[in-house]
Amino acid sequence: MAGYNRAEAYDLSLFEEQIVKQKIEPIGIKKAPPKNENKKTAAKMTAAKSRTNAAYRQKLRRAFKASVFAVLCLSSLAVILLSRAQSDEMTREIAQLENELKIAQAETVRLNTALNSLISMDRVETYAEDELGMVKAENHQITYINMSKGDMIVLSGQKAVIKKDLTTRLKELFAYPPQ
Amino acid sequence: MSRITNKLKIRAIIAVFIFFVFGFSLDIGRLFWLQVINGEEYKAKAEQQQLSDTIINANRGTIYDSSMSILAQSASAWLVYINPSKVKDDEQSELIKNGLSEILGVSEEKIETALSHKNYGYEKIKGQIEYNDKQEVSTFINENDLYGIVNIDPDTKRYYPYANFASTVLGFTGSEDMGRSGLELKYNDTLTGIAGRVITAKNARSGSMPNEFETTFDPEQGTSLVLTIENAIQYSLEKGLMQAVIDNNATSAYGIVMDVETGAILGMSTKPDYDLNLPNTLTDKTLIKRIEAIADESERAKQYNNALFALWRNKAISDTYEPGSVFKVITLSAALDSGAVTPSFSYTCRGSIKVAGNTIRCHRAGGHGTQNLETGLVNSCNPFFVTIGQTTGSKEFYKYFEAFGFSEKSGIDLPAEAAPVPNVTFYTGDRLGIAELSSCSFGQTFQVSAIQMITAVSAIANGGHLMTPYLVKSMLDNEGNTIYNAVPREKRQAISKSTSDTVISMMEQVVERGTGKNAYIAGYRVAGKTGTSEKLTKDNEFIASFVGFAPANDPKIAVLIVIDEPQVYNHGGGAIAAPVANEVLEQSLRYLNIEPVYTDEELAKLSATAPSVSGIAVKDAKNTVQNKGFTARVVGNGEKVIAQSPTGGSTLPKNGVIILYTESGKTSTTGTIPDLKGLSISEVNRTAVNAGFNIRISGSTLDGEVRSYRQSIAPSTKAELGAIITVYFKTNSGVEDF
Repeated sequence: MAGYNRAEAYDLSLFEEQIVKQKIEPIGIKKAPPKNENKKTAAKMTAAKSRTNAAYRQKLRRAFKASVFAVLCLSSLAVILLSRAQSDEMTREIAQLENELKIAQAETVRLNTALNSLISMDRVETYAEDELGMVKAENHQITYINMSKGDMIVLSGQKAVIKKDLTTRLKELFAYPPQ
Repeated sequence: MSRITNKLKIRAIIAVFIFFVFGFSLDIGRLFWLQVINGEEYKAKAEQQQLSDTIINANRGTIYDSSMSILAQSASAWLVYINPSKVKDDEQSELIKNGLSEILGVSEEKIETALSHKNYGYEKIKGQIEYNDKQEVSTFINENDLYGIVNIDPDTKRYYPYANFASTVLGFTGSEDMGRSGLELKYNDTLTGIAGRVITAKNARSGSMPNEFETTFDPEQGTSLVLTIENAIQYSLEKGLMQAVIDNNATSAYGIVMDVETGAILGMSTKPDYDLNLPNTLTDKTLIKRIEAIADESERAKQYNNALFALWRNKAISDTYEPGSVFKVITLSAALDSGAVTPSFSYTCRGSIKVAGNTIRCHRAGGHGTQNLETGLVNSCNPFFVTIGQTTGSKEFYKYFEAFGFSEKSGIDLPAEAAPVPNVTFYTGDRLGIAELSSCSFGQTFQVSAIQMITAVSAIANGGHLMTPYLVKSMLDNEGNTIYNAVPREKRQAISKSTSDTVISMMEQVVERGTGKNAYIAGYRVAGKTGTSEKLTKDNEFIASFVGFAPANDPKIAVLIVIDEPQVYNHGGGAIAAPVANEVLEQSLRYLNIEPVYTDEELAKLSATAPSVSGIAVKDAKNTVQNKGFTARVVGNGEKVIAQSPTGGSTLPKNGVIILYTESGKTSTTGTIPDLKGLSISEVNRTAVNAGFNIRISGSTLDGEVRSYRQSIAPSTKAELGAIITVYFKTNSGVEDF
């Protein structure tokens, strides 16, 4: 390479053509390959063919795997999308049902309120007195039972023992019809 | 050469690097500014823009009475509003006005005013709309393509099933379901609960994004309250007070029923009152007419509001009044407990007493003569109690005044309780001169509230324990689990047990033979005191009151009845308040299953039960009826009784009449109800029987001088022969205490 003069802008030597020595084959009659060469070539071709087939099969396998993988991926994606869609649909259904529930609950409260007002103590008393001619019971008409002793347990098979006084027994004896 | 190239490359790389760094440093700096320095601010803006935040209102807690009947309950409702800025033209405006007015019952003027606010995007038309109306509005919007112009938002509505039942106690809610008075206000935070939220992502068109981006915070429902109010007791109290207002043409009447041992309020009412579902509506036609007659619009609105405020007011806790003679039981307790007097203390009443140059007169012109403590209380003698007060002395008197809770609020769990103001509503000890002490001794020249009065009297009834009154018995969460139970709280021991027992026995005599006779109930021992006081703030207007408790031998409940400005001649507490207490106490004691115990004298006066004689021969039926002490009246010519009136098992006074029907088709004969007012028991019975009817006696039957003052079936009404008329009796003799 020519020396590079740093003062110059370009190193023109770098742009000189490089003479590349090439081997020139004379033009002439092509020599037939030797016989052994044909066999070798055929074998080579067969092998090459085999290798090509193998490569092809390999490519096919790879393509198949890739396809399967792609299908799986697409399927998964589809499943995900489908489940999301279903989830959205169910969420919408839930929201709708919740709304209907809220409406039903509101109506229940409203109707119960109307019902309670119809059976208020005032209405019941007025109806009983004015329509049915009823009057309140007197205090002495109410019988009070003392439950302060609490609950009792009576085992089955045991006879209740009732103590009767003489007067009661005599009344039962002479009662008609017989008791 | 390659070295040089490398160097060039390196330089080029460095240059590019510097270029990029320089170039991106601005971006990085900007990013730093946005994300670090102002990160929170932009995050908030982004959230606001990208997130949709919907509030889910929490249901307000329910209010129950003691037996879990629902008194107040909330439910979802809807609110209709319009966006006037989107209204296209007058035609659409007219359509909206007419449509909404018809569906919602709102005046066209109101909708027109809302539509005129063209710059506004939100004008409320009506809230608390129920489902049916909401559906009609939705249909209206759909049919007329009014989307975005007429809109529906969620709302809540509070229901009060029993209208004006316990209205001044419960109170009501206003906008946004917030309590405005009564328990709804006092326990507003407890009842309200915590609203929930649904946060979703918004797309560019403000639509919600899929639920992946949704976050829900469930609302926390409000806590429910279970009150100490007993349905049946409250009802009888309200009925009695309303009748008292009508019978006596009074301005108002209020009352309290309290459990003396715990301080639990079993009933509290003020009449007249209002429908809780329509708190802003007056129902008194006379009052409405008077207000509408006012010409000036602002004055009319002011008077309307004043009338509403008066209805909402719980006078039992918010109003103060001069207690009058009812306070004598406090004076008596103070005198006995301090040792100033003994039960044998006596004083001779000559009709008046001079105090600091002024004359205080007794309500009995000639005086009561010599009285001991019991007689003085029974007679409700003012000069007697002036003497008691002076004997006790200002210091001791004020000490017990404070001990009984009159210088402080009762502490009841209700808002707007009247606060006593020293030397305005009552005299402090240092300001109790002889004149003040004397007048205070018989319940004049100072004021107390009804809740203070009944709390103090309950302390006398329960052995001297001053309790804190309360209304909320327990609280429930939204699943019905009890999260709070009230515990009765004693403030202090006001008087000793022995003083309490002594005063109770004297109060019992007030009902047995004194001014409280009209509170007598056969089978029960009732103790009480009547009061009639002159109002300080209004000339010639009075307050009639009665406080009592039963059974006197084992007090369970106390009742205070106050009738404000009665306009009848006999306006004393004994004449008009005691009969109301009689009815309330009788119903309450029966409801609480407190068994009556009759004396022999009471047993002899009890009404009898009609025998059942249907299906037997007329002659035998007549004999049976007459043997039971009744009169038989036969209708028809048949041989057998096919029906009777009243039916077997009914109670009627002895000597009542039983109609025996002997022919089919003639099982009912009507007659005209006679006027039974102003008659004695025997006269009423005789008059009714002669007309073919029977009576049921109610009220006081103690005194031979009782007279009827009300009957359940109006005179001149047609009714079936044999029907039972409830007749109410009271005495005006010997019950004056003013």
